[in-house]
Amino acid sequence: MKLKRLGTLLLTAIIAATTLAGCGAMPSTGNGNETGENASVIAATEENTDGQITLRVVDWSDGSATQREEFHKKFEEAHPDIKIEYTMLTVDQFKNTIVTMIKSGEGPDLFPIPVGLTLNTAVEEGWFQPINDYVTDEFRNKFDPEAFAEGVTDIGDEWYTVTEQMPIIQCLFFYNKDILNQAGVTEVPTTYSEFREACKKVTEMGNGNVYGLIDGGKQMNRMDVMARSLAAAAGGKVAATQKVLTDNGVAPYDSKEMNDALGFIKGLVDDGSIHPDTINISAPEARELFAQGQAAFLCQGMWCVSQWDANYPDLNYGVMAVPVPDGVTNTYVQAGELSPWMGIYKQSKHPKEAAEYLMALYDEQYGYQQSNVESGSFVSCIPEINEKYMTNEHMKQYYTIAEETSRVVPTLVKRDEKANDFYAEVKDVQPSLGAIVQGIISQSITDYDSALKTLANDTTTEWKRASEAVGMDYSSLEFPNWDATKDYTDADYETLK
Amino acid sequence: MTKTKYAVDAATRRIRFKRKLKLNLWCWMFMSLAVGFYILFQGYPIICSIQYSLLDWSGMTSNATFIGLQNYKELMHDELFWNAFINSFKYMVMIVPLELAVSLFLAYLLNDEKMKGRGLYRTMYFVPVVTTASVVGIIMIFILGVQGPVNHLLVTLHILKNPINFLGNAKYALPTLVIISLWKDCGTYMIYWLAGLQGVSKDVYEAATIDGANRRQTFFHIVLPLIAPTGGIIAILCAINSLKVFDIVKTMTEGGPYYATDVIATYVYRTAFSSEIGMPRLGYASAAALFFGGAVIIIGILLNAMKDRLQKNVQ
Amino acid sequence: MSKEKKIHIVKSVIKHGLLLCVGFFWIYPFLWMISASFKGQNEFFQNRMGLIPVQPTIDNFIRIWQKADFGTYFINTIIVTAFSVIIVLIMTMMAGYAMGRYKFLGRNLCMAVFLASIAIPLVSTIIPTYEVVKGMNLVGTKLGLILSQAGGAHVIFLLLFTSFFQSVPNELEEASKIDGCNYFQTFFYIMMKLCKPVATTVVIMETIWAWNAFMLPLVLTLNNPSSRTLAVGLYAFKGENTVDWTGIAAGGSIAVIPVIILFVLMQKHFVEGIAGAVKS
Repeated sequence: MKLKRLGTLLLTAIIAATTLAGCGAMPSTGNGNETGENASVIAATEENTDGQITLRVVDWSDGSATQREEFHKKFEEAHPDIKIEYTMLTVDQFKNTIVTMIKSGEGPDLFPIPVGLTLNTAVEEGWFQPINDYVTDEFRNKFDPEAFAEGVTDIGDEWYTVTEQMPIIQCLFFYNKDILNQAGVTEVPTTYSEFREACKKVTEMGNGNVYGLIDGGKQMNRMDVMARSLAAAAGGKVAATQKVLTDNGVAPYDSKEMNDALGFIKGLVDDGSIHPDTINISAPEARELFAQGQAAFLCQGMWCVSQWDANYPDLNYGVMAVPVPDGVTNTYVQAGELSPWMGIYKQSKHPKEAAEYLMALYDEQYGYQQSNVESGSFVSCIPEINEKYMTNEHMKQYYTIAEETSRVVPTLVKRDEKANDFYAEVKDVQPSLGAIVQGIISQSITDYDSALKTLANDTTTEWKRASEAVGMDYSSLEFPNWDATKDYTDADYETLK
Repeated sequence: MTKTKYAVDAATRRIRFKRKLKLNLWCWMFMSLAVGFYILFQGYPIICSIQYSLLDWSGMTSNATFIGLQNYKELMHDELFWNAFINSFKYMVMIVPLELAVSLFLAYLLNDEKMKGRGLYRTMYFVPVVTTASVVGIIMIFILGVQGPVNHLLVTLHILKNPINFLGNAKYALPTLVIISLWKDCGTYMIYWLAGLQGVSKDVYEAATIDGANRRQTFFHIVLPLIAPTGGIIAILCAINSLKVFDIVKTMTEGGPYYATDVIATYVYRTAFSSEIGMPRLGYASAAALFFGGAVIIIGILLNAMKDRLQKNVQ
Repeated sequence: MSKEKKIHIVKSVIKHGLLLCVGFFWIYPFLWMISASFKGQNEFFQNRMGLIPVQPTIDNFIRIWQKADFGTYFINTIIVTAFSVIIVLIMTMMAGYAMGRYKFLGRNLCMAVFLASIAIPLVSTIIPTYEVVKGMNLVGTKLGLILSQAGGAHVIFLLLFTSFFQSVPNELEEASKIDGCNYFQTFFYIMMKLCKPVATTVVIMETIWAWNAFMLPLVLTLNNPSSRTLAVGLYAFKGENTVDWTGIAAGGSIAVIPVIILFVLMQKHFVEGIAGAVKS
């Protein structure tokens, strides 16, 4: 092989390729009409000889996968003419695969909006159709009124998506009662110093087998949630994860509260209180190791409850609030935000059956909602189901603490309609907050305050750029009348106008 | 006289031309299938990538803006991209010699006709290739964790004073990944080498044995030069595959801790499909991938040119 | 017994001892995977390193059997894998033959493009591949799946064939030409018999690739589950927030067995000096 000559040839090839690139390779802009024909071909093939319809459902609700399976069985029994094809993916896989199909007119009949995309953008892209015409009025009336929000489930009078569950905070601390007892910790810690003290005692007692805190440190998004919750609990004005808010005109990443929060994590690292596997594992592994009694504390969400109750019935654990800096009182973490879930594909050939499916999901008769509420997977959007079936003690504890220690924070989407464009435009700044926390835990960065400063500056610049690019007023990110100790209400939005 | 010569010349030329044409036709017929598949499933995606790299596009919406070389310009100042770039090369430098040596050693050992149970051994050493990646991910964390058997052994033997968090420590994470990949992929290269070794005729071994050479001598003096051409291809494959490493990094560390094992493929994947706020950047990720690919090609050409010059100088 | 023979025996005992010992550690994770597929989720983390399940259970297998439509998926996988292996084998062998033996017009260009393209890490092959398969109107069919699998990473095999055919001496070919064979007959009678070892490699590696492929088959069969493959059916065990480890282990164990059987059968073709034997 004469590679030397190949070099020149290669160059020619690349040039040729680039010239060719002009034609035909545009990202497929599958908007309705042009692909409609193809979709109908598919639809024709998918009806079996006995007239059975296949309804394709894709999502990533793995926390309630078993309940879902049972639901599908019941649903198919009740609707012998419908066959459910359910595919469970992760969000990344969804973005990698299904989005391509949605755009080319062959998406599944029912699917959720992936993280990062707002409902308005998804609707503009032609992903979803309104469900008003396909569902009954009683269906909507069953829901908690708070399960609807403009730009999340509805656009104007049109109803597009349902929410999976009532929003709830994703980060509280679980503690293992037996381990704390053994270590001689009698009171559940509430402040940074108490928490560190408790962790120290546990780690000492554990002698290399039990540690203070464990978490899924491989997942930057989990680290991000933890840092934001800690900072909010310290009194900082920080948006919930994946959301954007400024404090005094800047991205609130190098605020005193954020510094305190990371300082607290750094302190735990210095004490040797963090389980050494933390950095190697994801949240699911951390949940298992906590249940195996390898750590006294775990920072995760309510979904743990049902998993432990099923696999570790003997685990003696409790739920506690996010610890606060010493001497700080009357602070709150960000309340969970309503997020969109499933909607009906715009080009679905079976919107009626898809709506049927949606209605059944929230119907007591099919048992999906109550089995999830009973097992502690989530709080239902149907209030009467919660009243009847919320019997799980741990879940109640989590729910109560979550309600008591969190406050609704303002959201951009509610205030400014340009917000959708803003979210479509804004780009991640890295190293992100989650990455910095990971750096602290793995002891890769010691000087976290300068990392935070860079992050805050770069982020502010990026947010300014993005808001300018979409023609949104940058000051929309600032909510001057926001009092972090109170829920931010509709009235507050009104006064801003 | 001259006339006839001319006529003969023309005739031979015509025959030669015909023969050449025939050869080319045959060859392209042989190539057609591969070229067709290549254009559809590799060429076209690459061309698409080139096009995406010139767009400001999330990959999720239809809203894509042509921005020329803006993505490439931004890449030049992207510290994390360069971090991944350097990590990829570090990884390659560490793994290629190891992988090639170990797999060749195994292949040569298990190619011995007289060796008993070689089928069993081959299968044993091939098994990691087919072991499910997510299972490898978790068992390796158990094995290499602070409380795991490797640390236990090293501490008991007083090689280490304190256990090391192999995958969680920025200093050791990349070398640890190298070892894990070596284990996982060794079988693949063993197969390639075995295929290469079949080109060495039986007579060669017999002749060497008659000359009194032992197996090691036979290897270095006779077999190695004979399989060198195939060896070159395998080495190139190994180098390129290691520069594109993804699965093992994704399952073991996801590029962490704090980007210590972030290689190009994980960087690109993260940029193209994951985002914290807002949408991912498929266009930018394509630019990163292409830039990296381009750099690899240029480095390859330069190395080759250097090799040629060195050879000339030696002569 | 002579001294030399004794030394020989000691040597081979040491050799086998070492090979077995290292081999055990080498396959330990594999054995662990098999064992984990018989463990409960709880024991998976409790009995971390153990190879023998304390309370063996076959629940995992039952679970995955129900989740994936096993019979259909298994047959689909075999069909898709077999045909894509055949296609890849034929096309890389033919192209490798042409490129390894003849200097035809455009050969170097092809080589350069092939080499260059394997150096580029592709961000998303899914979007363009989907477009191509859709353009051929083959979405949801097994044929579409087969073609897209065959279109994958075959450049590597092509290069292996090229370098192999390069190393085959000329006399063989000339002999066959004198016998009156055309290019195709030469290729068919002589070369195909010689290249068994490389072909074996290609069969093994392409099988693994096609057998385990997940993303592409998923996209291509979402609309038509009846042509799905095993990997698509088995992969749903790793979710966004939860992981069914024992399910993964059980799925992995099942998926791996056919591949290992194939390997055991195929590796026999790696026989020292086979090329020489054919030559003489």
